[in-house]
Amino acid sequence: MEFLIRHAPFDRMVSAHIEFLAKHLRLGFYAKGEVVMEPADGAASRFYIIKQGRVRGEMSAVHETETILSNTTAREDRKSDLANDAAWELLTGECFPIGALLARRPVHTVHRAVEDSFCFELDREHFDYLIDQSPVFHDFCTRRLANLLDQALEGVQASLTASVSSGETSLNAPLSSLIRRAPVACLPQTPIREALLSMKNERVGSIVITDSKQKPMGVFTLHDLLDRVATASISLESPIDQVMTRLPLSMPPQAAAHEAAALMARMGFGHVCIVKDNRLIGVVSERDLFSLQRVGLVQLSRSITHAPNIATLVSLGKDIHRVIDLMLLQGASVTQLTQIITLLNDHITRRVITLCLTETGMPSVSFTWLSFGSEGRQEQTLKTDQDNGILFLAPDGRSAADVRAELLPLAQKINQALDACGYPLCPGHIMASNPECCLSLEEWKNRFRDWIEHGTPEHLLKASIFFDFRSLYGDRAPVEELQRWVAKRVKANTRFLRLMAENALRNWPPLGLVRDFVVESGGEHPHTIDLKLRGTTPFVDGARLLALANGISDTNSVARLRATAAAKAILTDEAEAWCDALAFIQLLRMRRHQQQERAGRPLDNHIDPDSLNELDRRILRESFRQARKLQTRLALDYQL
Amino acid sequence: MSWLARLFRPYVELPPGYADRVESWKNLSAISEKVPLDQARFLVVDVETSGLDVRKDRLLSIGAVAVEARRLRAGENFESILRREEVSERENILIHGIGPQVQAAGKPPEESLMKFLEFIGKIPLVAFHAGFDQAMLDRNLRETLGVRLPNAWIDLAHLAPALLPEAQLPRAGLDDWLSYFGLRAHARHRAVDDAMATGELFLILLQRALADGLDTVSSLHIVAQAHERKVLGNGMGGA
Repeated sequence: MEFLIRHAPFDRMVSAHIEFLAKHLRLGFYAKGEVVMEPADGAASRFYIIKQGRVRGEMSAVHETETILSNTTAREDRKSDLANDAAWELLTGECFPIGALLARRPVHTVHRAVEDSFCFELDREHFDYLIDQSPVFHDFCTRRLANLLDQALEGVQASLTASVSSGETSLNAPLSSLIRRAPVACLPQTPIREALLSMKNERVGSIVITDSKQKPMGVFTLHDLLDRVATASISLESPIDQVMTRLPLSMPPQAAAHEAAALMARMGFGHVCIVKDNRLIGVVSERDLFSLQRVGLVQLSRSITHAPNIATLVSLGKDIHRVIDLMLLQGASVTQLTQIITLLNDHITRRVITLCLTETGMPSVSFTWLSFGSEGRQEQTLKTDQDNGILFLAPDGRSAADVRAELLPLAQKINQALDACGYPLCPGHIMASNPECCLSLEEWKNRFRDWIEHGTPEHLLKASIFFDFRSLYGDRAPVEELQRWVAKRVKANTRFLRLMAENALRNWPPLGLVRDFVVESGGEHPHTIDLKLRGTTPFVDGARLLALANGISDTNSVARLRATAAAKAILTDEAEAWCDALAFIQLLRMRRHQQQERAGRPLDNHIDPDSLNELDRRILRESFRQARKLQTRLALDYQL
Repeated sequence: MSWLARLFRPYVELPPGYADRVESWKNLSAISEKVPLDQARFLVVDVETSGLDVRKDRLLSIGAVAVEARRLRAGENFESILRREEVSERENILIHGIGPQVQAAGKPPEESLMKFLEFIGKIPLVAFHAGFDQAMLDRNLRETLGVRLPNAWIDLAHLAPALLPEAQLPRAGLDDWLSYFGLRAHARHRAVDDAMATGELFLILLQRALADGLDTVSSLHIVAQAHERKVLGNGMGGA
């Protein structure tokens, strides 16, 4: 069955199961326009694989009348538009109707051949047998999108690995698998000289200081020797606990390597103690995690945090891209990647602010630096504009305008410095140096209240950027207060929620009825899809609305969807499928950015679907289908 | 043996054990050609031979696959290579790909043919340029097992242009039709794969026949034969 082994998931099934399929599959032909299956057939009794051709799912008239609850004509019109839009297409190698077969129910849609098509079919009993026998097939049917994504990510890694030498550690591996040797440790009262001697004898760069029960108390590294012993003129006979770094990072052996990498990057430590039952069982260093790389995550974070001037930060910004390349290679997920990018960008922003403050001196009032948009959501890719602002608390006796006048020159300086570091100025002027984005807590509330109460299209557009805010520098408390305030206000205003829902339905995913994707027909980027506007925006908008409607103050889209599921407002399976779909589209964006960067071209979000391999095209279509599902859900919720 | 003696040979000397099997095949009841077209069972057949002369060239392999109720049953297929001592001519090996070693490793011809008989029963047979497959099989079955196939044959080389005049392929080969419909044989000139590809073409033609109101196996026959006569007539007229 050469056809089967060329298509997922059959390409990964064992030969006995392929032979079982080959024995029981029947091939049917459907002329253009012919119905393959429909709701009236009753509980789905066959599993289909398209061998050749295209099959479209259309909402049947019966199903429409079932679901239309409203009686107004306008709504019905909208509803049938929606039903039309909800149609989708399946292509060669794709399977249906998995959901209906698993649930023993009729299909919801009429499945019709769009062109002359051949489909393999398998009787339900054989489908059930295969689900039962083949873990691969079971996995494919029950978590279809996630399964395809795993495969795609393997593919990304394989292609990247091919271009670099192998032997890299997978970042998904548990830490226990990275322990190379028994830990080198000593007691706190050990003289420094003796500790150094064991490090030399054991040829390690670090030693863990433990108590008599082997519980880690501190770490000492060769790097510390220079700073804390040699240059500080401490006697080598002093006990090691005087110079060790206290409270070392500890993680359990089953934690994943990427979690250790993230922790190291956040804390700026190069070593993590692996601790089981309060006892040290090993040490993992950054070098263990990134065995081949020249520029490490920790080293990079540290260099950023200690950069003496803007010029140094400018050059470090380029290293971020190299680290991301490497992490993609090592199998980090998109969520991890976007968070690491955000983390490093946060480091740069904080260092820029600190450097600017050193130059200008501290202002007389404390302030909090805010980030909005993708940075506020911690979903940054390598292409990112500035979206920031300032929140301050005006002290008694001073007007907000007065404080603003003091802060604006500083904000201006910071915006310019960030621009120099590779974060272009925001064309929409959503920057702290804009007086409208440098406000007191009361002013921010007033501004947001105005939007929530009036909800003009411009307000909605602004809300879609500003409501995804978080603090980056300075006091966090007033920002958290503002986040809670927004969540509460929006939740209480059904009119605004409805307007947001309308807004969230504006960017329909580009699934075509005639071709599999709708591409731009003209403009600057003909025959492409805008992965941001058409791909991630529907999810981001939907997640924001779901979160705010349920009083959730998270700003990250994945966190918003999961919190909404935890609040039982959506199903966990739905939430996970939407997170997966969003992650995949982000992955495509990041790959696109990497390629453009390597080629020295400006970064954009336009992708030609024909340039994708079959698996990626299929996942992208599935991801767009998930976006439609999310939007259909919102449309029903708000009766749009 | 003279040609006369061969012609009047009363029966073939069957290898031991085959007489009963041939007998039970002969006892199978005939299939009515009035079976509704959308329910009927067919076997799509393809043979590979050492050449195009149905009287002299050797039958090398037989492939067949079942079509029932408008579905090609990929799992119900038949493939057999006939063991031959003589080596096939070089140029043909290049076409059918059955080299001397494979031929030597095949089954004894009587076993291949017997299995084929048992696989097809009296079910109607479908082939492209069916006349060739029919003549080749008839000769071999008669010489080896002493039987004559009563099965109906449907020739897609005539059925296809008859049902699809708009294709304007009145005398096209299998490859022309496959490419007209964008079909692709996995390994063209392997008997079973050719049978599968032919089967796919047949599914399309069945759909078309039903859409045109044909409802029995015999009506397919009539349409195909009418086309055959028309082509022959045209051919003679042109000559």
